[in-house]
Amino acid sequence: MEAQQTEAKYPNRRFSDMINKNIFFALIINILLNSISFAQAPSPLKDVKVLTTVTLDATTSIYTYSYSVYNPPINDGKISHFEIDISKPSGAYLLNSAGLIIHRWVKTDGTMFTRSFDEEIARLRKILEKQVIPVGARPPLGHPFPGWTAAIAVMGTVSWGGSDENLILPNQTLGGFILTSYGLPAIRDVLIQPTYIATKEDILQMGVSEDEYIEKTWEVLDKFYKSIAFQGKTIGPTAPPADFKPIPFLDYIISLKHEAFNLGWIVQGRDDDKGKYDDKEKGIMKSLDKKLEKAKAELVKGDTKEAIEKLKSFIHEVEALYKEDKEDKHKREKEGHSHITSEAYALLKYNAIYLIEQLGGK
Amino acid sequence: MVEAVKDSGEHIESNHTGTRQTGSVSPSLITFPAGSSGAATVVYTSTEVSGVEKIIAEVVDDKESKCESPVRVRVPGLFDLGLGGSYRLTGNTGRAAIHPNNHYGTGSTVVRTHYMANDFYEQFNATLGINNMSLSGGGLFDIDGDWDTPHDWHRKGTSVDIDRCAMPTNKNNPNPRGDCPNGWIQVNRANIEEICKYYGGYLENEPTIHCEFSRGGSLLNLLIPILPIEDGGDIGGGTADGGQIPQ
Repeated sequence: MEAQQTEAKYPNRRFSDMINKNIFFALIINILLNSISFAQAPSPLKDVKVLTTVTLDATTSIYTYSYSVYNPPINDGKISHFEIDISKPSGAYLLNSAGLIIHRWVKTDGTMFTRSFDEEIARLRKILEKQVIPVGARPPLGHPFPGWTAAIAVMGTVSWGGSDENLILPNQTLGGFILTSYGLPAIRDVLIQPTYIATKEDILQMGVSEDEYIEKTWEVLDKFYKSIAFQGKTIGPTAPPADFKPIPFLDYIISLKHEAFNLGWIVQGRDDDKGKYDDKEKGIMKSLDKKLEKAKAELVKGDTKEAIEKLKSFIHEVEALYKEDKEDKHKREKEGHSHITSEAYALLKYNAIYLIEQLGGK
Repeated sequence: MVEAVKDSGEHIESNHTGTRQTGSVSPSLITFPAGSSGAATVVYTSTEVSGVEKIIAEVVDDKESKCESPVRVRVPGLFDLGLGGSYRLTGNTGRAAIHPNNHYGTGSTVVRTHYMANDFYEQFNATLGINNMSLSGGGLFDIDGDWDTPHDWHRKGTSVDIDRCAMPTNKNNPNPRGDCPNGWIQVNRANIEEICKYYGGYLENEPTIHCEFSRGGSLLNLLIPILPIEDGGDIGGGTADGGQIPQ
């Protein structure tokens, strides 16, 4: 009865309450839709930097590759995925796998869940899409649970994945991505992805038809996820050829050097390059080239001993350049570039050492 | 003419609305000169609904003279995920369901789903809810039971839906509950995204978490009628020989 009286007195009140409630609910639904269903895809990742250092344990012959990833502030995506190709080249030597452990993740009780490489490969054998070289891996540690995880992914990569609480935000660097292997440093593909779950709208916006969306499924998702990823190069392990021949391997080192230059891992052009090394015109590249060409000439002549000496001279120069670069931090920062990066250093030094060993040198 | 066998292909018709689509034969009518004998060939084309269909041939002037040949239409090579210790089967299951068996996938998808759930279980001490996958014969997954609305993808055994809430194995599980009911934990989005990627999959945004694995090929090539249950002649490439027509 009382309610009826109120309604009669304020005939429009209930209607306005309804409108207010509707607006309120519409706002809530709008916020939810914006935050859940229609979250905007991040811009494609740009200029992500991967810094790699390699060390060799002389007692075990295991290389340790340490990676750090920098997400520059120009990006709006938060990095959750980092992978490096470890596919086995055809005709490659069968590498040892002893002592290689995959540290997959930290469990809820704080202990690490691990499997040996051999156990992991036995488990994945049926679904592995590419043959891989033996590796161990470890995710960055010391983060709140569930932290980062590491895995050999079925597509032939070592992959590291973050969790919602531990992503690499723009303008952040995260190190501690560790890979171990008996494999020599090589130039490898790297793929870095921001966290995001693709929507149907994202796929259709790429010009994919409804039919393709339904029928090509994985392929269109692959295309989308790669479109927002950063793809580049870094160094990672590979296996040398099973049928080892010194001259082709030396040619391979020469090609590595050129590719390292193209990737910006060897920088020439500082004024003091001129005169410091063998050639006054071309600086570092020419100087390194000369040493490798001389070693090749000796191999062609059949003078292994002299070839080894030339290779040692090459390694000495690589080490000197890297050492100088590390020590002269002030100059490097001032000029904004290096003579030789840690990637080029590891790539050239360890492959040259391997060649010397194969030639019977020490 | 073509008729579907009731409830075949995991489509329980009493729980469906509308009319079931069936394949077609072409030509649908063949004329023979009076007194002649021999064989005629018709081409059968399936729809995207998996199941068993009967190709029926009858003489127009003599309804008593007829024969039929059943044909099974399906995406070949799908396997039942089955029960597992690290996951629970959820989704539209049970006797009264529209599609009682909907946890089928290619061999590779089944293995990857097991591993994905195992990884999650080992890390979070909780069982994943494995929601819809594909029907036993693949093809159209009409989630609303109307022979029409497709459950996008989920047709060829490469799709796996994962519930957003996982069931912990212990009461004091430290993982956040998020929006999940009391006693459950929220599936960490980035983490499941990574686990799916490790096994070669990608996530797609759905009310559940959709992980899509690779297989290659197109659905049209995969959804073919395969060997007939009875005498149906040679079948392949999306068409079927309807058998000999009595005269």
